[in-house]
Amino acid sequence: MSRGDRWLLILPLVLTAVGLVMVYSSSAILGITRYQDPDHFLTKQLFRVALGLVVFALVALRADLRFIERHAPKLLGVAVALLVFVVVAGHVAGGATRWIRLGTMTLQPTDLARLAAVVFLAWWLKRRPPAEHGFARGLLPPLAIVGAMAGLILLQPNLSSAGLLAATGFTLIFLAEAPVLHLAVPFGVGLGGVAVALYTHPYMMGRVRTFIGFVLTGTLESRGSGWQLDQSLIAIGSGGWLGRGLGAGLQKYLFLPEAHTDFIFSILAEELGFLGSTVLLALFSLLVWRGLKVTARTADPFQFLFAAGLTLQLGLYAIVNLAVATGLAPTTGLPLPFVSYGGSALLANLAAAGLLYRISVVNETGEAVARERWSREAA
Amino acid sequence: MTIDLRHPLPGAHPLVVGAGRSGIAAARLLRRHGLGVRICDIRSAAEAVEAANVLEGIGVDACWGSNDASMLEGCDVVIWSPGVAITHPLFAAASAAGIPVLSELELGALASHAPLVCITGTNGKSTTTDLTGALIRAAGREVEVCGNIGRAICDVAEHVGPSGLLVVEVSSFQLETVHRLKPFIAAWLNLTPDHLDRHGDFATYGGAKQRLFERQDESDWSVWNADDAEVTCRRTGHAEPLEFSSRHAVGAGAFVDGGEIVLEWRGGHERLMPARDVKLRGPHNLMNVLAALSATLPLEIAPPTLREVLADYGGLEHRLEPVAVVDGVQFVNDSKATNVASLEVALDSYDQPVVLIAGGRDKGQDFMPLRDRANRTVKTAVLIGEGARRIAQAWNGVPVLHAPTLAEAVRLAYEAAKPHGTVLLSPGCASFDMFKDYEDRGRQFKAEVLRVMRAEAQA
Repeated sequence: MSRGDRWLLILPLVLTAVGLVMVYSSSAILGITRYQDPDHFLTKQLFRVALGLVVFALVALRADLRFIERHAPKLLGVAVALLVFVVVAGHVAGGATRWIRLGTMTLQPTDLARLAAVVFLAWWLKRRPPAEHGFARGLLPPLAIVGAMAGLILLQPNLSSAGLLAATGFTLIFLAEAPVLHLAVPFGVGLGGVAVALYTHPYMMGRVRTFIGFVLTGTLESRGSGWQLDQSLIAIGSGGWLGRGLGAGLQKYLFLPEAHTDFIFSILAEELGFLGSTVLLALFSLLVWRGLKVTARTADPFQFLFAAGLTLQLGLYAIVNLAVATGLAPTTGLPLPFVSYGGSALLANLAAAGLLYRISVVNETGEAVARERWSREAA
Repeated sequence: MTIDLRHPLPGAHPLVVGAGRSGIAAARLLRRHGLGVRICDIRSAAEAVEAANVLEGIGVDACWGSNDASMLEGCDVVIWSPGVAITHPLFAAASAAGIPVLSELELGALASHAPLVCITGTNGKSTTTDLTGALIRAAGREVEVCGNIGRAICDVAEHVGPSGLLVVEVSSFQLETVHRLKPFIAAWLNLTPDHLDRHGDFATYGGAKQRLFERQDESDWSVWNADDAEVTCRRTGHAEPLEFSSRHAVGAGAFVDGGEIVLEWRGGHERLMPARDVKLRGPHNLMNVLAALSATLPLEIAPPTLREVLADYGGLEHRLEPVAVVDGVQFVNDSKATNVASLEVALDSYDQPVVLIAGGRDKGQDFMPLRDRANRTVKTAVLIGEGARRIAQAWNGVPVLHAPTLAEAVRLAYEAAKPHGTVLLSPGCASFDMFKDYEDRGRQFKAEVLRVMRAEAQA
């Protein structure tokens, strides 16, 4: 039996464990004030982690990559249908929404959609390499589909997730060796999309101005729009070198909202200090590095693009989340992979890591490469 | 002795004047900080049993039935309740002795770690304050709503951390004795003559409101009604101005354009929603909504959140609150209408003639300006309390009934409104002659309506 890259098993598990500890530490106070139960969020998250670990184990040990490849269009269909459902149901209910309620769990179709989009792009780009099939027949259809998905996510409204999906799609097309001229088109469309979003939501311009003001002058409107970031920076700064100690943070006492979700890094930095933050960054860097390594070792174009897309998803979400918590990007609501409180994001990320491991298993030995080459020549 | 407030108190031996809701809250806050507190009130201990018990429980030296200058002995700072007029001799005595006098509002502000959003004006304060709180809460930010509405500021000032906000309904009484108050956001809704029994004249009344803005600087925000000439001519302070208007566009703030609510913020422009999709009804409420939206602009709350709250927010108790329909007759509780302008607003909200229950404590108000409107929209006026005679004289031509009690008034109004009319309790007067406060009056009204309903059900 061939063995895959064990880092891809260990790192997600370590990050999930760190997440559980930090979710408990950051949510206990909120649980008491909101539900009179310090374990409220931990209990829910434990249930999700258990479910996530089952998914992770099944995917890492059993996932059939060829099956996934064959059914890529169906997967995409399901994901798009769910996205449409959320937008329509949200409008019927008289307001935007991002969730579908399933008993006690809520499903965010965005998390399925970002995996489905990667699978579909890898499937399409393998069959119709942009260099051979030209722009209209090779690139336009997948661009249109990914663009439409990003548009649906934008309607929820979830600008940051839509942006990350578009960025992933663009990078995959680049990796599929599309001619540079063809790349200019989606890039231009993307910029156009941002311009349109700002034009149709001109109020966002005011917020962009506020952020630019912070970047240029360093003055934060801590009582007004910059209150979250201000509290986040206070948390990170007060951690010092070694932190206040696990569980001993003060900012989670309702100073910093979303402490267990979007701003969980700030609590980690406050309690575990510069040292703990650096270790967390190292864990993520290591994960992305192993992901890229697996990607580089694949022989099949589908698996190459699939692995690249999964690695990108994990890396981009981590980077944007950390940038928001440290004031390097405007405040948006993106979770930190594996660590933040949340159900469907954790499932999607564990599934992504499991799939990366699976790809590493299939491509571990030279045999796999040889087999692939042989089957291609035979065909 | 050190006083561990966020900002230092200019003394260590406080005297609290007035043992009402605010005075007790102030005493409680000072006790929490370990200060020995004396409180005085004109009422006797027998008259204010509840307050006396509370104060004894927290170890406050309470002096009942006395508030002469001897109270000041040994005190170096005075906390003034908004319920006591500053024409009271104790005020002059404190000033003469060089003892600083702070309002309960200022004490709360000194204790608070959270920035303040203060809302003042003659009418619509409570609704705007409550709605502002609802908007901030929906955005996920910690917030307490206090002041005239709900709890006293001194009771909640320390509940909110520095990343939260205190939304305060501020009356002109609170502002008379304010010296260092510096709200992060201060809004002035409108100005019409009211409380002239306390302030004496209109200029003094307007001047009191101006004090809210005087210590603000460039990092703060002020919010002005651009449709109200009395507010516009009193603009003051150094804060960044925001405006709201239902008639024309503004440079920064909220306005109505073609039936749509529009936000202007830092050059950005958001067509938020059609004004008719806002749940709160009536032109006066549209102004309250615009004011709350302007006041929350510096917080950059996401437009979908704003839309959600505005489509859902149904308003407050005692403000044009629909109570019940009994056999085709609709009962509406507007007990909060304690002055002529509020009464006018209530009458403006109805196209069909209504049966009006009005009257109460006589504050020397002039009901003459409403005579024509009353003749148009009041089918019958059922009058109660001290103010009844004055209203009856002013509203020549309106059919008038007199009732000795609210119960009798509700019964008469119900008969007059049959079969398909509206009974509106909108007193246009303060409540202090027959009731504890306007809330008491509104609840008693609702209880009477319930009684009528039961009687009808049995018949």
